[in-house]
Amino acid sequence: MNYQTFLVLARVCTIFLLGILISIKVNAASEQVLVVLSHDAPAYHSVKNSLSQTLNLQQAKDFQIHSIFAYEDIDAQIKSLSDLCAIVSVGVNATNRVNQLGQIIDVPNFSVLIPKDAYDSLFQNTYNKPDVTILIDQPVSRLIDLARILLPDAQRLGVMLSQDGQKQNIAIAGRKQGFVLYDVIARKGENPAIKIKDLLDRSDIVLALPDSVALTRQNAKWLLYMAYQNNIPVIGFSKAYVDAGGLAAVYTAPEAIGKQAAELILSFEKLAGDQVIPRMMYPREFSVSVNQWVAKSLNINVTENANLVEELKRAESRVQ
Amino acid sequence: MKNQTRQGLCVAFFLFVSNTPCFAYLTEADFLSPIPNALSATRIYQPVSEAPASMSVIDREMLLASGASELVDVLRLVPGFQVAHATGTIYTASYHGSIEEWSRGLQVLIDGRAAYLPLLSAVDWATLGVDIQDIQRIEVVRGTNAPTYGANAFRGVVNIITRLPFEDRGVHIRNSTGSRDARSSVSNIKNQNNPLPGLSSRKWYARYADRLLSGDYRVVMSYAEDPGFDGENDYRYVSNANIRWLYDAKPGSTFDYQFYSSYAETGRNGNDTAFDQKGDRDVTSLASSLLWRNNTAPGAERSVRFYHNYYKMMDMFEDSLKNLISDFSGLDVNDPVDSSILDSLISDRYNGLSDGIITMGKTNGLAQRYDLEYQQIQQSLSSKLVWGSGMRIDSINSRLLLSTDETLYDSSARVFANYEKSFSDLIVNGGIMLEFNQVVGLYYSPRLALNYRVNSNHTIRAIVNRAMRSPSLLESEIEFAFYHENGQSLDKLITHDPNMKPETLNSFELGYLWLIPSLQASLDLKFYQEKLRNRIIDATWLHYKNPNINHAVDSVYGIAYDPFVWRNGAWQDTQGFEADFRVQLHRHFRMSAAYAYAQTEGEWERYVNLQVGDSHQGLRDLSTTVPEHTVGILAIIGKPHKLQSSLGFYRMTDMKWLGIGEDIPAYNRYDLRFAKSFRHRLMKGDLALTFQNLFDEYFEFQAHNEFKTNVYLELALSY
Repeated sequence: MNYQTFLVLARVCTIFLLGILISIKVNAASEQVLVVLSHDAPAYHSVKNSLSQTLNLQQAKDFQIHSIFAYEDIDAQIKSLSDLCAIVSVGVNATNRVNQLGQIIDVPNFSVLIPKDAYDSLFQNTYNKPDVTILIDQPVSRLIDLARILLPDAQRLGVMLSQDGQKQNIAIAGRKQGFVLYDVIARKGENPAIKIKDLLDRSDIVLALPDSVALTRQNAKWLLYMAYQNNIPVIGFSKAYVDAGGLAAVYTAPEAIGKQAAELILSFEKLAGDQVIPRMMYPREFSVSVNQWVAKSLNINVTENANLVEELKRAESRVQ
Repeated sequence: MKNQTRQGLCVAFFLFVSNTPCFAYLTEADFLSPIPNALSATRIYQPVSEAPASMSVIDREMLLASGASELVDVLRLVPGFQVAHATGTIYTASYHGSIEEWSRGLQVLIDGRAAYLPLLSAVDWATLGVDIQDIQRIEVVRGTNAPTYGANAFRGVVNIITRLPFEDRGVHIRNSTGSRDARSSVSNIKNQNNPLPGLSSRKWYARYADRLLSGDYRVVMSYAEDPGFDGENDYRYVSNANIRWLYDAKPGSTFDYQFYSSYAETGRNGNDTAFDQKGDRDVTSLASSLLWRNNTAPGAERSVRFYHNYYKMMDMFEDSLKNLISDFSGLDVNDPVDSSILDSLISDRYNGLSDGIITMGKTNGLAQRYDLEYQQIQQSLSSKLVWGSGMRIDSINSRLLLSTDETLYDSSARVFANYEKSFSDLIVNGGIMLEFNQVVGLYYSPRLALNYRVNSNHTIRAIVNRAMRSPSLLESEIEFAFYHENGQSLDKLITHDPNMKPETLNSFELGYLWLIPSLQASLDLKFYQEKLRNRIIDATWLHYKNPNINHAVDSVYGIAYDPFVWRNGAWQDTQGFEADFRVQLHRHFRMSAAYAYAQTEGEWERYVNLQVGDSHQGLRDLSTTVPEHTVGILAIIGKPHKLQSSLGFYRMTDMKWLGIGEDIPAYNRYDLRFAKSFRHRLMKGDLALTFQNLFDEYFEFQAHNEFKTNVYLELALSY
């Protein structure tokens, strides 16, 4: 083989290898993910951005993320994407819209940032539901664990609900941490002030749990005010509770939910036949926020927020 | 699609504007949206162990369980406070005694608005317009707090915090009926000696609270009637109305509007002379305030408050000048000879004036106050800075009190700052109030407080205060004189020293707070020393000569007349200790016990004799103007939603009240109250029976104000 022939062969091989690489790349770029946002607000964009970053950090495949708002023509968008591998609906409105498309969707359909209350209301009696939903709520045991860490001596755990449904689960979770549950049922039309007063009279600590009737934002405001007057700490389910005067809150940032959704898409890709992914899951990652002024005035010593997260994770792993 | 668009708009609206959920279920907005801030920086209560003052809190349960019929009476539960019904319509309260019927130097705040009245240089407790039912708690600062609240917080601060409209949502109606003398006759609860037979003690109270726009509001109307003390002309009919509206403009920004009105028709005592007739006194008291509060960042807040107080008291009466001079001279107006002498006396004394109608009164006039204040709070976990500034205009229009038809004004400005720094177990608190007014110019009140936490249950505090109280507009301008129908002011009854200086109060206190968590108890002890100088008080101005009156004839006709002059005429040193013990032994038993021991010495220059220069006569001893022992105990058994009974015990050793007050012997008073709540479907009710002063009669303020056993039956319904 002379030198000229060698050069020709080398070029051919180089072009061939480049061709293979390009073809691999082209194949990878065909994975399309459609993200449907309920509204044009920062929280929804945070979910999308985090999802996009997490998917593109891995090397095996390249993902193209397309986003659309729930009020736009989702049907047409799905049809225009030939290599669609997943749809992610962010928020209740987007989930509702995507779910209405029903049979048209033949790719995995994920729903994120959904309150459990909405999930139960929308999908309790139907098979037509998202393949997997990542809730925005925290498991109630996580809030109870935090209550125990912050108040080691408290005994009476108070909650305000609009119906009895959750009561038993909360009582069981509370008992595991040595709490006796005191629940107040506040139905629509009833005077919330009387209910809150009743709750505070019989509680050492109050858990603010999501409830569209018992704990509207106004009721939450007055719960926090009256609880503070009575020196009763309140643990909330969103950071807003801490900002408005609660002692502490456990919550998951939209970024963490976006990341969890991305990991879910990747795990779906690798899913073996006998593997089962739960249809509804709580956020895996979470943050803890503490109102230091409230803690100080209630004479509660609080360790760093990061330590609290670690303590909570340890508590959860012990249970598992 | 239309529905979806509507739903989307609904969520957006919920996220950013509305407080009302649009769905039957939660959405992510419930997790991501802010909650209106319930605890602003100022509402983050300072633990008592860190407060730069001695504080006592009367909470709602104590307020109601005390069975107090008047708001002022609950202060009997505060160590060092003396409370009295000077008449059936005028109530007074003081910290460390030495006080007249109108309590000067005690700041009374209703949700931050000063209830001070320039016309009285004091507070009219009877027409505050706020009912005990409207109050959540009362925080009492025992001792001067001028560095925080200004000159009128000279002796202490009573901070009344009303309930939030949200807490009172719905309809509430209450009626109370009682007797001033329950033991004399059960069958005839109406007082035999009552100048208004048929008038017993009654109260009606109606309240409605609900939600409006993004706010909560409350409307209250009440009416009270009471015959007053036995045999005295001090009945009262008082109608009140008040409104409060709390509006959330956006999370962290709230508006608080309050309006109070009170109209009182009361009796006025007198000694039945032309000079001092019994009669009526009508009071119209209006107040409105608007507070804007904005949380700029965690722990930071700014606020602007504007308020206006309007107070009009009408207690004028008329008589002939001849009758008045008849009382002065002893000449009989009905005797023809004396009558002609009186005519010539009037002509001689008043430079040719003839008889005519004269107008008299006691505290007649119209006073107003406008106040604007800006305040900013910045705090971290180890420090807190509160600073601000304000301006105020006080005005009085009173022909009788000021001898002019013109309205007199006093404009003032103030700057204040308070800085608190925590060093591990030591908290240092420094504050100063700089005030400038037209009466005395610039003056200031500083404070330094140290709180040392020995451990979580034991705190020691040391506080040094220097407070100044400027003469009020009334004190610095008073020229009280009755006037003739031709408009001419005649004899002055009260005048003022034009060179008056501010009162000063230097105080030092050492405090100890012991928290006993196992018993849910606390014990607060306070040892103190106070030095009051330049006290503004009245003195009789001997041989006063009014340039418009021919006093040469006074001796001829035997007219003895010397006016009073308000001046810096007394000093007082007080020392003692106080204890405030609270315990909750069981969920159904709690007790509050207040005890104060005081020793005081002081002198009051009762007379000024201008004929012999500036020398003074008639020094009066003030050592009996503070009671040696004061006790207030309240024990509460049971819970209001079941059967609750409460027993109050109040004791005060002998004390001399100033002004129209007298030497009052020591007394013990026992109050007993039973209350029971009941419920019927959506309606809730309360029934209460209260006995005030179960045993022997005692006297309040004056030796003829006999406080017998009062009994009240109260029924309330709410739904």
